Amino acid sequence: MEPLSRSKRTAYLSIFAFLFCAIVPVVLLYAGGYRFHLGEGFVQTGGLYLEVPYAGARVTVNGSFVGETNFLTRSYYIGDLTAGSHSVHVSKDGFLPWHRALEVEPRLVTSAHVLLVPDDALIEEVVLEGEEEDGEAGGRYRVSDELYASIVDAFERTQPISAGGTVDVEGNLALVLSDGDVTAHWLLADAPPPSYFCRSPSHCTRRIALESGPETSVNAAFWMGGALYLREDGGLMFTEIDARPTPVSALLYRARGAEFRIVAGELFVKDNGRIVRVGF
Amino acid sequence: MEQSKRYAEASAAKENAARDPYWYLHVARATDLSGRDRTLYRAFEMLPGALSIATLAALVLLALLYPTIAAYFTIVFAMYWLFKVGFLSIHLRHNMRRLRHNMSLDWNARLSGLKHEKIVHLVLFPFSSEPYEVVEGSIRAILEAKWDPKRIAVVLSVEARAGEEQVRVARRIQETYGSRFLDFLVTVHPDGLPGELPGKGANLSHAAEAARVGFLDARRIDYRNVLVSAFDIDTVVYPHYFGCLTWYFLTAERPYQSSFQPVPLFNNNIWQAPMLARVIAYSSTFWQMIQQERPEKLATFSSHATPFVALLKVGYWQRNVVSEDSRIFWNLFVRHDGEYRVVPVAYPVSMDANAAPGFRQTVANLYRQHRRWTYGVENVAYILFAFMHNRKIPRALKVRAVLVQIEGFWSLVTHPLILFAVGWMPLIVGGSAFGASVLSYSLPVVAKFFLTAAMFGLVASAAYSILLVPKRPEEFGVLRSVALVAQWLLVPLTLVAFSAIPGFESQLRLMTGRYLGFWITPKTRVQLIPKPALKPHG
Repeated sequence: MEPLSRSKRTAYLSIFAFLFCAIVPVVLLYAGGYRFHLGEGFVQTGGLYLEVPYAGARVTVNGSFVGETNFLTRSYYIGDLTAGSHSVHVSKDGFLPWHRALEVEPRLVTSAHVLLVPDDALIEEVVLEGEEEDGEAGGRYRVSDELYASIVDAFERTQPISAGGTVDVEGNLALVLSDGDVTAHWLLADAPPPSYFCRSPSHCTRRIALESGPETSVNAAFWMGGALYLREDGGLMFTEIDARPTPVSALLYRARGAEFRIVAGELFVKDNGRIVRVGF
Repeated sequence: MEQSKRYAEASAAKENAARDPYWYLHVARATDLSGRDRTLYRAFEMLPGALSIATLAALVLLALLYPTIAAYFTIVFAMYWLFKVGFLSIHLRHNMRRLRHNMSLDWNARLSGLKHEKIVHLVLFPFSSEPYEVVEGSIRAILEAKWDPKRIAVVLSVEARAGEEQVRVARRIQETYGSRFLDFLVTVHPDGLPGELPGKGANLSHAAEAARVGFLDARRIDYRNVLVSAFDIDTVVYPHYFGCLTWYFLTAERPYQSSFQPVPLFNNNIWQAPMLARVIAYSSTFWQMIQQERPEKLATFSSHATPFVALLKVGYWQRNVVSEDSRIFWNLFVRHDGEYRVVPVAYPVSMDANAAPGFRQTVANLYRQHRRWTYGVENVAYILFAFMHNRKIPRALKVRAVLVQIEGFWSLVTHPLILFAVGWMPLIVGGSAFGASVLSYSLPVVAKFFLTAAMFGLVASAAYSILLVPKRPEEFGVLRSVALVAQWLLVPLTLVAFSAIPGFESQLRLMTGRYLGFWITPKTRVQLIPKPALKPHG
């Protein structure tokens, strides 16, 4: 037996080279978002990218079931979408449904971080670890002496807001309170803002109004990937930061004269001298 | 002043050329030269490393400045990789058929119509600190081959620095088996000879010269009838090796202008070797099998055979290089003005897979071994320099040889790094505008598709490796056989860790003048398998 002849090798090489050259343009068009639609020829498509924080959430796009998040899969890329508005629903038992009409543009991907807020917030009274039970089971959040002192200290310190101004900063984001309205601001002038500042991938803003209704807000802070704001009427609201209609918003606590602080990442509310922890 | 210096250099070069037209034949590195030649050789040494760095840097820069173009490039490159795997798999498949066909033939019968009676096989075994049983296994395999041992002479060439104990090992082998051969020489290669790099090349040359004086001349054997097999100490021949080699020699178009390359298997200890060592061993074998089907790209590698007269013409193996196995081909190619080739002998010899007692040591040994192999990149400078001084070699031949060599070492380093690292840079440094494009989401999906499809080529390789493996020893269960297939999942890792990275280190060393010395792969075989089985075709 002889080694492969030069003619055979040339033939193989030619076949492979031909296939390669024929397939390359198709692959590049596909990768760039072009799809062939019967009757329309090549159409530029876009995509959606959804990040869901919890497992067990059902995702549908335009009424079609996309999938249910699990331990490994918490994000979905949905490609091959024509330009225009696409309706996205994410639902999970015990959480408020998340719905958004996301605008898709050709060859671009619209991304969204889904914020799932529980139907009911968990409210527990803060007590010291060593404190004796008074017969009522549950509803208590036991903390160390050290943490308790920090919480008390946080409430005793003067709140740095009144009329307005920047009330909280997280990374390149700032929360601004102005005339009782709460807005989120992207601080970097020379860098594009994240996707939730964009109504569509190519139409972005640098300021999102979180609360601009008739209510007057007196305090605000970043928390759990969203924002908290306290209304004058004592309503503590948690809202999603997103320029696209309509962000999720939920009332976490209501008591006239209540104040809130975030200590060690936890939300605490002081209501008539009583301190409670509010959580999901 | 400068002009007179240049004049002096030019005069010296002319004198060199007049004295010996092949004066450059044994140049090993830039430091062997002076003046303009040294500068030029140094530039040639830097070329492969510079090319690899430039390629990778250009891609990083492209990812930073034009991430979209970089992403398209990565996709096309992944596709190219798939097609390349497919194209090379055809060569591998054909060589496997040829190998099995050759294994099934009675080569002694095939020789019946040829005048082969005067052919003498000289087998050179340079060795250092390998144990008795390793040496004995190789010698016994020769005795058990289907070839009259009285037409075989063996030289055991012990490195003096290995100590007296190793000389005793050689003597013991000689006493036990020597009388069964035409001749059996034991020689000691002195340590620290001027102009030598301690290593296999120097020892092989010492062994060849010892054989010429102590055996060929003493017995008045015509050099033209002598075929030299330069083996590693662990090389185990298959039964028809000598018959097959003789046939290829006698039927070669230009037998004295040809070297003969068997297929190197690493089967001796394959069942004992860890998974990583196995997959790397078979990868090396498969690459050699592919090259066997592309003879114009084939250079000698590891265990190979050469007519004695050709070796004598170039002063045997170069004594001052690391990669003596491939360098001997280029010495011969240049000395014969391009009229020299390697004949692919699709017949196996078996060596040890690189396996140490512990996993960490195995990994370290594998890395060092591959660094030594990829240090063959030192041939690029040699070829360019020699081609520049040899005007008799046809220009087209020079261009092709240089391109094949440069592309080989360039792709060895850059391709795995592009596929598994640099190619994905646009996703990291592409910025938010690129990050919001469909392309940025398509890149991992499409590129992964092609790379996964290329894995199917590896699945085929897994099937071939099963055909090459000797029968499973009883002490190993079925799981070991399963692992033989599963091992191919390690290929992406081995491509980067034991090919690209040691290759890159070799090129950087050469580039910066931190030349590599010879490193002997330790042979720590747990148990010798004297006759690796290969199922013949049909």
